[in-house]
Amino acid sequence: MNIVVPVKVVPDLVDELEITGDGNALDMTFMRMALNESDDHAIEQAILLKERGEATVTVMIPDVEDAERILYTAVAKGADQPIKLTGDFEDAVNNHALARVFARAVKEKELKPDLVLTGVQAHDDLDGSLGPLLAEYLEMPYVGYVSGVTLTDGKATVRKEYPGGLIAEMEVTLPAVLGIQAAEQPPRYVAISKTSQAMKIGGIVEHAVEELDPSGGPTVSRMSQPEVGERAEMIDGDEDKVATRLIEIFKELGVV
Amino acid sequence: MGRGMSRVARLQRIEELLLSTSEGYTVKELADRLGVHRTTVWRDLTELSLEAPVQQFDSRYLIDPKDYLSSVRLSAGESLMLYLAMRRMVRRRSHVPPMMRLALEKVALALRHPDAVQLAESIKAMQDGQPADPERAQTWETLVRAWMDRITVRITYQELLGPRPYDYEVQPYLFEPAVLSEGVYLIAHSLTHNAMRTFKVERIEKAMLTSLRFERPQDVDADELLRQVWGPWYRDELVEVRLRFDDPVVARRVRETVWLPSQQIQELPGGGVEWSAQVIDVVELVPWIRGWGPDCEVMAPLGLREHISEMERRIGGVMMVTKVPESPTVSDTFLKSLREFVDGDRFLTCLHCASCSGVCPFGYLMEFPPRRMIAAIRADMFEEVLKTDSAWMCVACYACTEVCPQKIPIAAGLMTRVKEELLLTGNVPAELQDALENSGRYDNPLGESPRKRADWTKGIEPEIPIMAKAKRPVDVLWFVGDYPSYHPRVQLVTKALAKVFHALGVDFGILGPEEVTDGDSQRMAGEHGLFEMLAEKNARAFAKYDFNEIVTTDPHAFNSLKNEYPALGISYPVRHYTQYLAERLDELQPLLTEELSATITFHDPCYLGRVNGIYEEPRALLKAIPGVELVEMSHSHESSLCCGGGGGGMWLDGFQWEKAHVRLSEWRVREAVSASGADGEFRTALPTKREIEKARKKKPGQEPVGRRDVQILAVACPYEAPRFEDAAKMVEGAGRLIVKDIAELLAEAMGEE
Repeated sequence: MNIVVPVKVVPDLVDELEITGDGNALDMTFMRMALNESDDHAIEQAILLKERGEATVTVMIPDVEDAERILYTAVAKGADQPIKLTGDFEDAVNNHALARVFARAVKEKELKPDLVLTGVQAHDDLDGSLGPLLAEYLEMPYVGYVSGVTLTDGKATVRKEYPGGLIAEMEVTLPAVLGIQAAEQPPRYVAISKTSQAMKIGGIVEHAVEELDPSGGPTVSRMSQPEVGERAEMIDGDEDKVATRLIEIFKELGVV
Repeated sequence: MGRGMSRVARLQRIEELLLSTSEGYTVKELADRLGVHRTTVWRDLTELSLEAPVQQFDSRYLIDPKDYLSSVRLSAGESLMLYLAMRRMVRRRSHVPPMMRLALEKVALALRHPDAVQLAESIKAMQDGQPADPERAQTWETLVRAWMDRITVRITYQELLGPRPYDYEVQPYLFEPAVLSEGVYLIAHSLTHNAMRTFKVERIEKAMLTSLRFERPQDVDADELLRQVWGPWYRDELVEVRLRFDDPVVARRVRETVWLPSQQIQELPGGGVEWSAQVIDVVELVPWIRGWGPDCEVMAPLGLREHISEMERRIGGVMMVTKVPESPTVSDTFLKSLREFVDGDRFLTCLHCASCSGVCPFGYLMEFPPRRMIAAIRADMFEEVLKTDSAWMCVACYACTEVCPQKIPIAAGLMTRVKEELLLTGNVPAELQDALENSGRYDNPLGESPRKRADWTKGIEPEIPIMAKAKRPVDVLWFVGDYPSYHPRVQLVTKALAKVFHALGVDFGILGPEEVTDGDSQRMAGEHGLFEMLAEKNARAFAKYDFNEIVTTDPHAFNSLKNEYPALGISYPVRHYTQYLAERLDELQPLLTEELSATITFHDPCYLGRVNGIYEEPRALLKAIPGVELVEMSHSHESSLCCGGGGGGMWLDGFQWEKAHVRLSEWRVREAVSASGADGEFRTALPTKREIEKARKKKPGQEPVGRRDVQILAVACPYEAPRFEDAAKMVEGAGRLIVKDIAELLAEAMGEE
């Protein structure tokens, strides 16, 4: 069983996002990047499957800052093959370009995946999520919003979540691409010493990609911070004054 | 020359001469050679003819070696020596050539001993035990013939490591027994190689005489040839073999024997020897060297050393002893790691008094409190401990360590190592996981942006100097810490301390965004790798700037910088701010002008008090504040109760609540209420100066707002203000209790700017 997990990094929201002077893109100059959360779940799900049976887990990431740490953390958790795609990923890359690059690498590296697990979404998905695009280029079926996978004889039984709390259980013939919403357990903690050990051993395979092809994605004409609406009314004064004013407002609104 | 020769010697000489010629000698030639008269030669030849097959062709005399069996007369002793030498050669051969056996039989009979016949019989019996091998017997015959008659012989030779036998044409010069084995070597000039070569006779599969005769060149000196070869093994280059024997007894054994003609023995200090020899091929030495076992160290050549070492390694694999020594158990390995701590051997001295489990604030609900953990190690069932999450209830407060009569490093050693084991197997509560991941990723456990670490300084006048911007040496590098930098409640403490520093005129600076979490609580939560990584980051920042000492807001930071960083090679003078300010109390005192009129009780932070023995400095500062009455809680100093934030507890509130349904901070707040008498009127803040004045002007006879009305729980650790304030909301009657850091109280006592 070959499981391939293509992952990507997204802007880390711990810092404020800034927009370039042109006003149509995020300013990446000082941007801190983080592993996309649902991709972290995809890695966890792959390792859970490996622990339940025979599987080789390949994790693939574009060469951006922190890529190696992310790969070695995955290795410390149990991934077998870390692949770093090298190329010009400096600027924001859309999912169309990424999906083409991932699909190509899967073929060129002859990974022959039975299962491709990827995070179902990312907060920078401007052109749709990665999974369906990847499934198209790999000519495989796709199921998204998956929160549980069981493998049986060339098939996967997956739990797919629907809005409103509905859960469907469905069967998909392998090979297939799954968009992971949540792994069956939260991504595990791996001690720094284990990651450092993985780093010392090394083993990242670099794979050069040719020019990125973002065609098919949208063109961003303007990007802006959330616009400030009408300010909320702040009620000053002591408890009695505040309570009186609140009751007035509720009466005005017809709540009481 | 021959004139003085005895008759016996002369007869021998004539015999040798006749044997060594193929053309024959005339009587005159012999007489000239021996320097005697021709008639003497005549007489000698007649006598010699009686014992040896002397032949005459046209007045030339010779003896054909083919038909000749030398008769040798030996004394009994000489016979025995010869018998022993031959016996040794015969005994261990897989194939004894008939000529060798017959010779031995004859020598045995020549002993003329009463048992000689029996000896000869036993030798005959050897033949019966061995399969007849006429081909090999023939090989020997042929080689002897070739050697005797100097006829070139074609041999089929199988090299020990060769893929298949090859044919060579060789001219045999000499036979020589192997020094260290029972083999016999043929040293010959190989026409195939046009060089001297050595062949082990046992490996010659076939030998056939050719029609080509040869002469042995005069310049080939057999002694010289033999002296240099090992085995002997005549090839091209000489290799120096050096062996070292350190054991004096073994060295004595080495000295006893001439193992090789070319050997040199050098004495070593301590009674050992270094044996060396020049050899052609080292392969033949291998069995001999290995025979010495570990008593012999191959010093040269390196290839031989590696070969022997590899052979011995493989022997270990092949001759695996069925009873493999048991691998250490989980308990053994764990105990070994504990003993590596300072005072780690004390774990062996545990009395099982259970004081640790009794004093532990959560010991009553741990499946394995410290004493039971030690008992589990002793019972060789430590893996049972690792199946539980008991250790995550530990708040690393050091109460166990303080109370232990054997002074066992329970908190630093046992509890921290257990947490580390749990962490390595991924048994980590989710809240703690977040804090650890944040620490690794953002350099603080709160998950805040590292860039915003100095945001608390915004708007403070005078400006807080950040080292990277100030670009000047400072006296004090203020290590602000995580919660003091980011936590809104603790930022008030930080600002207060900045105010105190400014008021005192302290020449200080902060690292700002270059500061990372000290990592001490992460370390006590078992993440030692993370701790080291963080410490190294701080070390890089420290190394960039000039300062005289570090002063910390946080006792945890103080503890790690003082006690843990030095082991990583990061060593700077460091003090907690209470120590620093207490030392400058004379300068500070005059600045404390505002009366606080409060009853204050001080909570000893674990990492200031129990861990580092700092009890008096914080109290001295509090006593310096005008109007303060300092009271002690029932647990104080060494027996202080933990706020619950240590050892990862700060990030395990939910986990511990689920297990315990109590909070340690609430317990402490109840003690504070009890000690300070905080009941009655509800207050949320200190009385202002105006309030106090106003109260004093109230009706005569009424108590002014004073120390009886304001109860303060004073703290000196950034974990405590938020924890105790939260707890005070939950504890009945604690509503009046005000939680203030000493820095805040000092700043307030300094009044307005």
